[in-house]
Amino acid sequence: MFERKSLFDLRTSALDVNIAAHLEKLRRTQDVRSRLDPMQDFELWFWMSMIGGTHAINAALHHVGATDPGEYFCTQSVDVYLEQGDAPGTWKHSLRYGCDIVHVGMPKVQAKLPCELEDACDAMMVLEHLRDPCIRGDHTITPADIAAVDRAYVTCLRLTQQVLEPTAT
Amino acid sequence: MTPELHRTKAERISRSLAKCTAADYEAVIEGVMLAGSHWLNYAAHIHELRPPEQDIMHAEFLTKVERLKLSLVMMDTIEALEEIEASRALYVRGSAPGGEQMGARALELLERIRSAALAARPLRPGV
Repeated sequence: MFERKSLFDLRTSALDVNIAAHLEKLRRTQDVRSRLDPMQDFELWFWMSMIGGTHAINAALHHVGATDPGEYFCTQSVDVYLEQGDAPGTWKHSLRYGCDIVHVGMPKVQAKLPCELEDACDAMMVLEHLRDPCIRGDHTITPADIAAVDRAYVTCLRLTQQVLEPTAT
Repeated sequence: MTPELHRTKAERISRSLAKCTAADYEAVIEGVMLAGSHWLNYAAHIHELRPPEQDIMHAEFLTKVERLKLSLVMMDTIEALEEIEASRALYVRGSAPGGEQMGARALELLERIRSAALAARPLRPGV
């Protein structure tokens, strides 16, 4: 017999799907990251760290109810998202608030976050500060830069995992 | 940043992209975006449309006036980068179907951007 889901169940279902989607992106970017040499491939290695870490943060933000888990994909313009259009396979832009972040701090999350998640966001800020000088600028990459990125990335993943699976740690 | 350093970075990123497979489309799209942006700056500096101290971060961030000026010389490059940048929402941040096809398309666009950049020459008549 068909059992109609309650609104809570539907929200829970969308939440689970969206968190799983972010964690799958994290797994995929982490896989590429593991195949790259941090010095020889610094730009792409760094970028996979940033993309993966941001997906982990988005998953944790949804988990604690700080952001909307709907299927709205971040564009480069803050608060502008892509979502499914009226016809199948089409996409349309929309202005939305409180959804996925494109980078930590873009947009700023309004909700109060658990300490672990705040600390995970702080760790990602290490990457955000290194992004322009190291990737788009002429800063010479040093072993210290690589160590700082790796430490921040690992910290971000450890803390977001604590948020997502508090009993696993 | 100097054109030479943009070229060095773009070529380094392309070497890293060679370590990716078609299934790694998020990395491919992002790497192409980064390498393509360096080629855009390389060409803009060589054409003397932008001084080395005024790099472009994203083609989609150009003002209408800036885009017009650059597109008179580099329309194909600007449009290619806009297409790559627009794809990031669907396939890198989001989970829209068709990521592998977009990854392959991004690599084709990067080759066009690279070829155009390597053909760039100063435009201003000598004095």
